[in-house]
Amino acid sequence: MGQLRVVKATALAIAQDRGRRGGQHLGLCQSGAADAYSYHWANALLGNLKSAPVLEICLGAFEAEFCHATEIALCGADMRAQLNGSPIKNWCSHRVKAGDYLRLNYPASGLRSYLAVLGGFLFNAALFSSIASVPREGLGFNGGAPISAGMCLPYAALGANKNRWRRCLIDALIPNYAADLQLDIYPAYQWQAFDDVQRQRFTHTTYTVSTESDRMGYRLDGQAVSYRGKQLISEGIALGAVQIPANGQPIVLLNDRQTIGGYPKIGCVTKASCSQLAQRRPGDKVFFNWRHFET
Amino acid sequence: MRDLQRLNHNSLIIYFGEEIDAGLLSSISHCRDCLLAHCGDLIIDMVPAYISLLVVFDDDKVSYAQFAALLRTLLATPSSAAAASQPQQFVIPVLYAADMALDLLSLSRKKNMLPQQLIDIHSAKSYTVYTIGFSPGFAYLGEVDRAIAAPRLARPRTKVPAGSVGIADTQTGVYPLELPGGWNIIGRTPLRIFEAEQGAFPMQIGDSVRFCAIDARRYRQLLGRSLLDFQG
Repeated sequence: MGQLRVVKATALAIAQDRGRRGGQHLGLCQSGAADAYSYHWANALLGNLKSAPVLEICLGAFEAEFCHATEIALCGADMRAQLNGSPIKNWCSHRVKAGDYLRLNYPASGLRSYLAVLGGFLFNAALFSSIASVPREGLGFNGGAPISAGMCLPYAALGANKNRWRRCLIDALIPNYAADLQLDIYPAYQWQAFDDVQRQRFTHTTYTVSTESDRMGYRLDGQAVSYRGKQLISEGIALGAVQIPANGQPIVLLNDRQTIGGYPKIGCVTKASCSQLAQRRPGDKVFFNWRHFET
Repeated sequence: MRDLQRLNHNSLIIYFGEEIDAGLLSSISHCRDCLLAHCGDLIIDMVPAYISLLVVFDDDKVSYAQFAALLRTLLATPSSAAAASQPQQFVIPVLYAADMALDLLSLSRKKNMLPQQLIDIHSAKSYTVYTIGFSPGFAYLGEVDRAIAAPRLARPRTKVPAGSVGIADTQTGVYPLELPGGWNIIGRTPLRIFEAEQGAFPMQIGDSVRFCAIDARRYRQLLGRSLLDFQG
């Protein structure tokens, strides 16, 4: 069996996969890779199963040694990765030999990088088909705790397939995390209780990602939106739901959100926009754009 | 079913009423059971809560249009009812004693009653599970007698011990894990109500729950036993 020996990691490096299935009615959050797009490609470049476990690493400061040959892929924020001191390309698969040393650095833009290994990491399942670590629940791989120096993370000792072509994602499909972000949003939940003035304001404002942003949700600073409808009864919360709390500052709810809540919601951000948002950092600019369901 | 609303690429929500009403819970449970029985393989998650049911379907297997059509057909046909799952009854032993009942004295004073009266009122009634959320294994139970209903604490605690039994407005509940919280804590159960390793929690919406007062000795005897194993 192969091992990835972690030499350096911050508290923002966690085990992830596509998230739990069938646990929300018990109060377990969906969890899963916050940038589903990058997670998908990290596994796809290696021919892994769609739900294969990866490491979700934020803002670099990650170093590890591969104890057995394999192939890896890194997708998401460009962390100027180096293998044995030489740069390796983001959004590409790479062969790795026993003893190879990986280093991820602080990215110029974007937040999260997904490190996939051939066959996926062999973390024991799992809760509701997932190994996703959720620190606030204390559940998932490693009891919800992050990856830390000294850990040895297992993967199948498949070696690299010398007959396989190396795969890279074409440039046209690589996102630009430095750009201001358009968040496509479906009108949903209590959107009709927001009057035209509020709905206009909401899409004609540039919001700034606040420092209170994480895997539970991103709080945005900017033009306040008012809700004047009736008091709400707690209900299930879909991924991307945009909550309008008492102070009118929108919150886009993401993977580690609570399963139910009683604040008004103006709509749901699309899956693609959620993936992009998860790569934004405090200070980055976003704006909303109404999108309608195809009939 | 009153209203079905699409939420995003793979989620929709069904509203069963406009006001909280224990009578709606059986409609919600029935709908959930029906969906599980007939198209369980297309469903990723379902979240029932008070008056609604959120459904997350697998959009790799079925489109929204197909799923919504299937759902409407199923719910329009009375005979497609799955064998309705019978609500379960739970009894939760509680030590309503001063060092565990963090807010019992202050709450009973506020309510102009003796602590024992508050305990008697809380443990007299059978409560219904309205929803589960906020944390894994946190069931919202209602409704408590108005005489002991109380708003959340102005300053929530950063840590409420696991097993704590609390009141917030007209709801009561048990903290399954140590969590931050603002509920008025009136006692603690020795039972483990949420099995973290398996992610198992035995309660569902519509189930009924009673609390029964125990003494310190019984608390020590039951400490660490699982709710799954203990009934009676």
